[in-house]
Amino acid sequence: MSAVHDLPLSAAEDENSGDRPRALTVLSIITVLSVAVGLYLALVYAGLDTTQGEIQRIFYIHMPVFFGAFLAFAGTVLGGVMYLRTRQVKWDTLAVAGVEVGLVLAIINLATGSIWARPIWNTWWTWDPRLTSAAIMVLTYAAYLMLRNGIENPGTRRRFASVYGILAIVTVIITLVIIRIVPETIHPAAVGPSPQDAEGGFNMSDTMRNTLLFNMIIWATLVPVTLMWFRIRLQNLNERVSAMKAELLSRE
Amino acid sequence: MNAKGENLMETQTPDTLNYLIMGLVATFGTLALLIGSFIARERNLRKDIDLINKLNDDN
Repeated sequence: MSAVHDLPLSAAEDENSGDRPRALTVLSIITVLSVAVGLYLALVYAGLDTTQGEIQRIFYIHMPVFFGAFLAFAGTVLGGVMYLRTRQVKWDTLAVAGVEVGLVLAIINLATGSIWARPIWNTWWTWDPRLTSAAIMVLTYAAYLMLRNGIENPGTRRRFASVYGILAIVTVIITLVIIRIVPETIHPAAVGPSPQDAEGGFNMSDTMRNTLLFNMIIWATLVPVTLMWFRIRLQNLNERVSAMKAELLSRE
Repeated sequence: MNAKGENLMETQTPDTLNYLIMGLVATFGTLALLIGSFIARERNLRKDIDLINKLNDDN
């Protein structure tokens, strides 16, 4: 069982019991309560935008989830760099957790944006530079998971995933800055002046600004960190099962 | 004011509540799918561990 002992600490916890660490339970409760408070602020406390109506409130999720995805993908870069330097499995585990959680948050960002666009831009989708780069970003990280699962050799798989995960962050950065460098966009900017052709922007009142700030903290930090912790535990369990299977097969 | 007594200077707030509901369903539905997949995968892995342990005991 030597491979099992190379796994991170949390894998060793799993070996003895399926119990969740107390810190993760506390973090999960804080996250769920915070999401509920953030939702209350978005739906009740923040003032109504009279131009867009109720759909404007989706902005308090739409924008923060993008930054949540950014944090998760940054975790993938950290995991990739550290794996290539140290070859420790725990860094690859962090990288894959970052991709999976970041991808889900990026999909939520795309879906909420598309739903917002229908009444405001009168279309579900348009090949605007920001939307196109966001779609490429999602496809890039979806491809990471598919390609990763297609490589049998664990060492090759981890090296490939590390390099891919590091390079893929370029799509996130481009998505973040594209409305500042490509003027032909209709996507409004929440911070700073919107591009000239932007449609659907709004001026934020104090209640709107407070709501955005609170939801930003929750969706861009608490939610991705909590989900990644669960995903890391799952990956540790997965590594442990793989090691047990390999040992069983080597005996036969 | 026009002939019907409507104030033309005021723009009416559009009714976009259904789109907001759709956005919230998409958000929390997607998160529920992710969490559900975590639970299902963990359950399957624990079943695998039980099976491997049983095979080890038989050997």
